Amino acid sequence: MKRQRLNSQESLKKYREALVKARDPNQKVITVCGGTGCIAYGCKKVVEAFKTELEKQGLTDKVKLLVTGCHGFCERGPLVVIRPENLFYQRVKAEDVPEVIEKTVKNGELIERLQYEGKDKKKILKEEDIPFYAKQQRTIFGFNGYVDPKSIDDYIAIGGYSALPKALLEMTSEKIIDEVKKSGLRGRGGGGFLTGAKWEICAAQADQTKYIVCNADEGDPGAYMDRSVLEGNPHSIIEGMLICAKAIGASHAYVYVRNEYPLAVENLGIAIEQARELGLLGKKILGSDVDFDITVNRGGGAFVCGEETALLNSLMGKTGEPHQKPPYPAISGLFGKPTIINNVETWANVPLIISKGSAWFASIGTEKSKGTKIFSLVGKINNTGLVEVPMGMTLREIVYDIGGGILKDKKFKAIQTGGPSGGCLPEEKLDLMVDFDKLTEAGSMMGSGGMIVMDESTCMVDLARYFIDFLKGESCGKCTPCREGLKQMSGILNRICDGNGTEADIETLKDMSETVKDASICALGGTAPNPVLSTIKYFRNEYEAHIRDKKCLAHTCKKLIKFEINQKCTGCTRCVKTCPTTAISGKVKTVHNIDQGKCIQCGVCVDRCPFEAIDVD
Amino acid sequence: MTKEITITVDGRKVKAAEGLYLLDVLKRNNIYVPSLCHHDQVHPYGVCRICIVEMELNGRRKVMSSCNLKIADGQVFHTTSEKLTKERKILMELMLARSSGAKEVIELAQRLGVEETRFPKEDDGCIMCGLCVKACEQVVGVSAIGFESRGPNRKVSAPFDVEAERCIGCGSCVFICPTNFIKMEDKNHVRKIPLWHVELKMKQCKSCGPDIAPEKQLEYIRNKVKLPENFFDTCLNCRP
Amino acid sequence: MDNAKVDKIVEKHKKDSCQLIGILQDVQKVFNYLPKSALDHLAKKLDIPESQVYNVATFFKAFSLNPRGKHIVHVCMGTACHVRGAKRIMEDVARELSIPEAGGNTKDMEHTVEQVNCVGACALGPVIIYDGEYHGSMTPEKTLKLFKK
Ligand SMILES: Cc1cc2nc3c(=O)[nH]c(=O)nc-3n(C[C@H](O)[C@H](O)[C@H](O)COP(=O)(O)O)c2cc1C
Ligand code: SF4
Ligand code: FES
Ligand code: FES
Ligand code: FES
Repeated sequence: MKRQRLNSQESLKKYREALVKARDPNQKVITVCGGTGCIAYGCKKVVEAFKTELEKQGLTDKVKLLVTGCHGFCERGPLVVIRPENLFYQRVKAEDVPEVIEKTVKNGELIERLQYEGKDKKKILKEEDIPFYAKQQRTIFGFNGYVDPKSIDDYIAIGGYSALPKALLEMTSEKIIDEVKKSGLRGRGGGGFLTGAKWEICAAQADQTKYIVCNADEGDPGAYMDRSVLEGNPHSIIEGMLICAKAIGASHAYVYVRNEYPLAVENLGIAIEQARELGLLGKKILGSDVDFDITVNRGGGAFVCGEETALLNSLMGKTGEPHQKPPYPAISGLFGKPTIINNVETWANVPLIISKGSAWFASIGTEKSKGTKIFSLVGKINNTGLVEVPMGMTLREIVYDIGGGILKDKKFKAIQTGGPSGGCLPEEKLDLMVDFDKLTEAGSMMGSGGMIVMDESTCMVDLARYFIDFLKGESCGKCTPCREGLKQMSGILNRICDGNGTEADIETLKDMSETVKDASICALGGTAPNPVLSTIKYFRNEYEAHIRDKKCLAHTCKKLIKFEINQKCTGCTRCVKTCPTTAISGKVKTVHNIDQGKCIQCGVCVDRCPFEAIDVD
Repeated sequence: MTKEITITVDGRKVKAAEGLYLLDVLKRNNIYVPSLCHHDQVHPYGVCRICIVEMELNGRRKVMSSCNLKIADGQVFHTTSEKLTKERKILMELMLARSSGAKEVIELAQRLGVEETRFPKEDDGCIMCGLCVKACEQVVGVSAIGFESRGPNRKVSAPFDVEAERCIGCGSCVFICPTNFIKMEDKNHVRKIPLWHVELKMKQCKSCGPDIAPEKQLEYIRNKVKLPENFFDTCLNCRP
Repeated sequence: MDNAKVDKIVEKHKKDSCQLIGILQDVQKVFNYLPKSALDHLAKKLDIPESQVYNVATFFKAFSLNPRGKHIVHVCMGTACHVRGAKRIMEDVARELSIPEAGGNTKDMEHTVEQVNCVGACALGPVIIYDGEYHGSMTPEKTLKLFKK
């Protein structure tokens, strides 16, 4: 269908009304999550099965099939939600599809085996009653379950692009900036800088050419909310940038998308095309004097390119080398012009603030951290996925009420927030209210919202080493403290993990951390030592165990562990066959033995042994 | 034209033109701050970080490099705090570990009170100051060499680490290198810069005989400033 | 012929050197890696120094200057996968294919193994992507099966 351009507020209103009128609120909709997690679980086959089955049954007119972005509860994928009742089915396979249509869609019967089962073994009917969702406040992420990301009409029908005419035609630039300032919105990309204040600085620059950039580089390994918003609801980002365009007087934007996110690039591309068709991008948008268009750029796989000055360099065809700030991008950014760069989630908040008002936004959250935040709750936790909660919720609520506690009911050990630049918080900090400042006070960070839960089987020294090794490899290598400092810190941590640490090492690490933090050019080096400092602060005993007793309390540091076969061994010989170094020997039906000289501590035998006959110490 | 402004350095008022780099202003006022990767001929790159100072910002002190910091009116700096001394020492330890044999590094380390490094020593003559790359780009205008890779693997190299095609053999990189890491040799009418894998034929003076410069360089200059074809046939001394 | 392919990509990006990363990505898609001759030609077409192209091509992890195998295997080493045992999985892959633990090509050029940091499917960690197809909740046994085809 060729769409006509919408050239006034009125025409957009009419367009929306026509869409809404054509949609029956009681229409049966089968929503299948098509996010990356669910794709990995095979949801594409489920979608195909629904298509064929609906056709076979002649239901294509009566039942709508909606393939959406991520619903958040990726752990249980592929997810199917049947609306308007919001019936929730999990782990749906293609084979289940005919039954779902026959029983549930046609006759309203439930299929128990596909339902979610609560802790008390009771089946839960509706999406919103599942504990994982019940405590969330999904003001941004909730839309994902209702729109086909490849359809601008879906977004408009649920009220999307309604902040746009307001901003473009009814509000002045000052008023928009004022609203964003009053809302208290802080950047979701890590720094937590006040978005409105940044816009104000940029708007005040005399330069006629200004740029807007959306930072979708999402480099935090273990976080994927930006990806899911971009994949699932790209128009909200476009609308946010359009509003800023009016506020600061920019006419072009770049979206810098991480290399590993092809689906986000695809959906965003489609969204931009559709917005152009409707005249929501282009010249004189909705009859206003705002011209605006968007270019999508793909990254090349470098964490440092999430840093804004590095990102801008790479947008200009150079390597991702940061430079010292000031000058800040808001004053001198892309091609030396004033540039506003915000994170995906920050952009997604903007239309809501304009349409619902700053007072509404400011009513959510804590004193200095307003609104909601999406976290990526992963690691050793039962309900892995993306959760959106109001700022100020405690870690405990997130981990236990929403996350359903630790995998296999093991003991909670720590939670890493803020990604590689953040810190590890121990059990005592579980009642910490999560907001920008509280996390920083505790020695961690909000970062972009990664939350990695760890149980007793994670070694904290090894974790610190993991992060430093990661950052060492991701450092751009431009400045001495980051390039050389992280190399040396990595050397020390590796030595400790190998059992060759010395008493002086902990102090050296602390000493160096300070210099690396202060003297580095950008915040990669500037925050890199955080995981080391926080693990030393909260888990010093583990460092000392490695150094003094040559023991790894979590039994993961290879050089410090030994595998031995105990009396439970039945001589089944399974381990003999799997051991890659033929270190295990013994006669059938007698207790076997491991040759320590040959053992490479790979642990394959432990996995293989059905009798728990292999001890790790 | 430029406005004169006042900044405060270690409690002392210093007047200077707005927009100058702090390190230059400090030097002019005989305030010593160490520097390594800074050179008057190229834009400050600000990478060795040894020139750090503290700037007062919203009631706190922020550590910044001074060589690439443009000054503005009313700014307050500290150049000698305990924190800076300690951090400069650790930076020197790090550089000493990387380039344990470089004379300039050893000397500066000693000047800042560092005799030994706690870290395992390597002997990489390159301290990654980037001056060669920047000189080739900004002074010569050729960009024959550049950086390669990233993080600890970063190094300066000719593209693909084979003969630098664009190199004209002018030797600017050799002269600007603070540690003498880039070697150059003129022998048998050939100039060699092994690091960039180049060997260039030298042009001799038609009247007195000795090498003037690589043919490629003279050609480059001739094209750039539009000199006559036979301009470089004779050396400076033999010219009428 | 190869140069013509590069020309086409450069035209698609309107000869804009700011699009260098995107251009390199497209070049790599065509050749499966970044051959020197293609990059030399590219630099001339875009009128930028080879050193800039080489710098960018070696800076970003997505690019390879060496030929790669028939099948591309990405092992996620992101934090979520790490705490769920990605290192073990990587060790198993390396042992099975006789390549270094940091990744690389197999001798027969059947496989190229690369470590990546988070592919955005953290809920399924540890994750392996085999020729673009996601394999979640990897165990050592599942890993071996993947290559024993
Ligand atoms: C090493 C490093 C990595 C970063 N990665 C990201 C990222 O992946 N996404 C992001 O939005 N911001 C990232 N940032 C923060 C950006 O520099 C910048 O502050 C942010 O894009 C500003 O947008 P905001 O105000 O909306 O948060 C990173 C910063 C550093 C130092
Ligand atoms: S801190 Fe690290 S990443 Fe940032 S500029 Fe310095 S070397 Fe590059
Ligand atoms: S991808 Fe389906 S719920 Fe996240
Ligand atoms: S002299 Fe300023 S950073 Fe090197
Ligand atoms: S950490 Fe492996 S997919 Fe995110």
